[in-house]
Amino acid sequence: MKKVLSLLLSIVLVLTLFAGCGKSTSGDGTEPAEKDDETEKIEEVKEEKPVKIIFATNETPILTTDFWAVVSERFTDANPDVIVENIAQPSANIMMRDYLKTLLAAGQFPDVMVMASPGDFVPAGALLPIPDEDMPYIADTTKGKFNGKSYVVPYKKQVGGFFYNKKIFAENNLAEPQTYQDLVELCDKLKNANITPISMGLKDGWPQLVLASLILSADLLTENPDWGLDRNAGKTTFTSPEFKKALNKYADLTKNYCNDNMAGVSYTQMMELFFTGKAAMMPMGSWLQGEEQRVKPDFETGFFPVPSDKNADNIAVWINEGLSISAKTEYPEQCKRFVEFFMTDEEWYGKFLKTEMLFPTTKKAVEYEKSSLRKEIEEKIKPMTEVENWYDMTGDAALLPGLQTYFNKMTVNIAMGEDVDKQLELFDKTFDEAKSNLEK
Amino acid sequence: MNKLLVNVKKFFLIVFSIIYLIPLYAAIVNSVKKYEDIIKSPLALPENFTLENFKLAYIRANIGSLYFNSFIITSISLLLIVFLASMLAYPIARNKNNVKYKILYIFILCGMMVPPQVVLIPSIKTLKFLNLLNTFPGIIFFYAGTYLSIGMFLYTAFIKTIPTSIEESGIIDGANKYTIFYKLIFPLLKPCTATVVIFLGMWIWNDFLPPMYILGSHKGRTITTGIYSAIGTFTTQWNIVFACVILASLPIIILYLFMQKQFQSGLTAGAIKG
Amino acid sequence: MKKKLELENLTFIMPGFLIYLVFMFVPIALCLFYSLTNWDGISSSYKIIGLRNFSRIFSDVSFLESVKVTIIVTLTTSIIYNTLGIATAALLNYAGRAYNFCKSAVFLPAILSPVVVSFIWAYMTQTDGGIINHIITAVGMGPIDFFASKDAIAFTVSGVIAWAAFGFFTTVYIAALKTIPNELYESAKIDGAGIFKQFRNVTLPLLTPGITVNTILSVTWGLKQYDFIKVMAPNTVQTVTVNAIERAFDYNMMGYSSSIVLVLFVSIVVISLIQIFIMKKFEVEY
Repeated sequence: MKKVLSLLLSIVLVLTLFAGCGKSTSGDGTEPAEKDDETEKIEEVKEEKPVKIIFATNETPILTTDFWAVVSERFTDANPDVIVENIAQPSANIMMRDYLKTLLAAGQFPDVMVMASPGDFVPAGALLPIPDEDMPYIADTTKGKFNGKSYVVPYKKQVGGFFYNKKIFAENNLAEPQTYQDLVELCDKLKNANITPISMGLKDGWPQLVLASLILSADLLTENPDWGLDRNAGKTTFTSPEFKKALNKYADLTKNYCNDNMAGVSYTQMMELFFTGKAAMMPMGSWLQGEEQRVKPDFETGFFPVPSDKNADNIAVWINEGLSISAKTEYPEQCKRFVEFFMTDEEWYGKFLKTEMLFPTTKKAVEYEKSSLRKEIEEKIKPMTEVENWYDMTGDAALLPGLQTYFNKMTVNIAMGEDVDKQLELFDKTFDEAKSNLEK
Repeated sequence: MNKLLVNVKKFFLIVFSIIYLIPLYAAIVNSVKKYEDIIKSPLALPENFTLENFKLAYIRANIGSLYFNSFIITSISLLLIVFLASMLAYPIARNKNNVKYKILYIFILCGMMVPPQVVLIPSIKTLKFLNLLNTFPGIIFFYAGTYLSIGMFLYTAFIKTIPTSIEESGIIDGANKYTIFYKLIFPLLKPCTATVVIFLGMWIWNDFLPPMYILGSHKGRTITTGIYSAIGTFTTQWNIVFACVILASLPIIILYLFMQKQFQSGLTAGAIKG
Repeated sequence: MKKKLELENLTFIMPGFLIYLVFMFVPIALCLFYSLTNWDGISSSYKIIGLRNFSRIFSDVSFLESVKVTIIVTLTTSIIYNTLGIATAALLNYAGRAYNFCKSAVFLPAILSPVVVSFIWAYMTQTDGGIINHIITAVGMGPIDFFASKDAIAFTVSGVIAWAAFGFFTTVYIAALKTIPNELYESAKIDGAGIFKQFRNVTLPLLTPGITVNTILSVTWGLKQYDFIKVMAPNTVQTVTVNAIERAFDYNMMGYSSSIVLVLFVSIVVISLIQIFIMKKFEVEY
């Protein structure tokens, strides 16, 4: 008995010693620890030092560290009382969403962040609601609301469809398709001419879902723009005939009209297939233009939206990505000022839009030097009706946490030959799980 | 006749070894080629030798500071693990028939069964609570905790093979336990220490997910996470990928070439006795 | 006297024990706790839901699929290490420059980072422009698609893992072979035993300790596999570890993810114990 007691006592003793140790090591560690103590902040205010806010960016091959640094520097130049420190996901292969979740779990959520899937964060109360009057500069504030509140300031609009190789189309006397049937015939003709119709890769896990999502937008959302709301309310299912039909189209295209070895092909390799003329078309978002300029400035590229069974009068747009502010930030006013600066500093915003030839979301038209393809797309989509991109539906219509991941995998599975019906049944089941997971 | 047979066998073994190393050859030879040359003739020796890839990789991934970070983290973690694990193993090995020590042994051995990646979030929570997240001490303690089990396992097995007569002679001389351990026992553990240092050193140097999340993104990347994120943007630029890959592996390959004997005999000591 | 001894022992044990307690055991315990909750990993509130997470694991299709991949990876790699490994060790267990070269060559990949190895092999296995298919087409055969199906991917990655760690296991076997005294072979020869009989009657039984270590290590490593799959096939196939991490990060199901981790943990412990039990039996027989 005594032995046990002495053991316990010494544990306690050493534990307390250790706790002291731990503190001192963190104090004189090689890296200065982040100073987010309450006292630290008060001191800072007293000395009227500028406050520091953390901005989580989303790095891509085009939006590099140096690029994002520009906005932070420009902001501090104009607002000397705030310093913005940029952070980014540790690797381009890690999704920003996952990295933000780790930061949130660890209590290190950034003050301002690039946010593409607010549906994962809003239920946890992690994001600050932004009233419409705080973003007077945004053209359309009606979309993307959760229970009537906005949590994201949308900073860009992108469109999606098929990019195609004009030279191949001209050589084979092909025209842009007006209906889905046209598209299939077009693919057949290319196949008969021994040209891979569609460039596709499953390795990165997302390019294939762009195709599936664009088909879903064309088929479902043109008929019923509130399909997402209906699904979340349980009024329809993923095994409904219209959903099945769209996914069967996707299965058909990937099975019959794409390059071989899809599973081993990454996004970069897909672009290589397309831009070297090995594949005639590539279904992608308008960000491909950024690559188009970088990879091949004089490559003749055309663009058409994914047609529905009836027509090609709709264009799928992404409006899901933007800037969010942490609900727990100590400097909400400064954060809002930063967001406003991001959206209204014309030099920066123009530069930002130019990177991937984006469409602005601001009231004020922002001009920048556009590529010929970009001008062509703008002209082409002017008369079209905008529908949301199915995968990235916003606000209450957004896919529940986890369903995007499931959809990624499901589209990979279908492209690799698995049964569509079975995958969709599982999708419904996963939906039920996700729903019950949300109910606390 | 017999000699001829042996030579034929040797010849085939060497041929197979070379085939076995083709991937490494490909990585090395393609890291000094231009991209177009890789596509044209992936296995040929470089026609237009270039170090441009290395220059690009070095600048892009900021290799210098990555080396420094990895070196500091690996060496301090190893020091800590060797020190703690050998001390921990000593009484356990010497009281192998005592139930209390047996329980302690099994309790610590459990740590060997857990994949470090999957307790990552709770680990991050713990480090955050101790104010150690995003610091070098944080990742060092994480490694100490994670690899202590395997260190203790190896040391315990090794100490069991050392006869107790050695300590008894020390006791007769009136030395206390600490002196006995550090003066008499610890030097005898050298082969085992070599194993621990080599293997854990390798694992820590090569480790991937934990440093990514524990150290955070913008400061203090290790060499492995650093090249992984640098490569993320280059996926088909194989020439640059290989330059990154080689820069990351170079220190450990050099170490291996100099210490082959220790690498291989270290293993003997560790695995067979265990 | 005895008490002093205990206290001294305690000073030896405590520093390591505490580090282990705080940085390994506490996280495991937290994991155990989370597995009983419906925590999403990010909210500040959660409910304790008992064993409900565990009850749904075995009807979870994505988990079962990841189990299948993990079993493929574990079995393939373990079989390669412990058959080809022993054979290679027997071939290389001689002194001399040629043998030393071969030993070093086989061991070299084992020191590389899984990330590095994965990148190299991602290049090697490309259908278009990869080295293997470059050679195969040069010989006049059609290219092989190493990523054609999920099973193909699982086997491809297993092959890569085996390539990387093969040297480690072979070196352990070489070391184990060295411990076998030469006299045993001599006396076996006198008894008229051929090479294969010698191997069966002398080498194999005396190699048992080495086999025990290697099979346990290979199975444990296989079951914990993460890095190779994550880099080589991040979105097509998953091992259990990858699946658990996806549940935590993508599905906001920290509680459920923790229960998967615990199931994996218990399986590893049980499988290792069974292996030790079986190998002990073998050791007794001889």
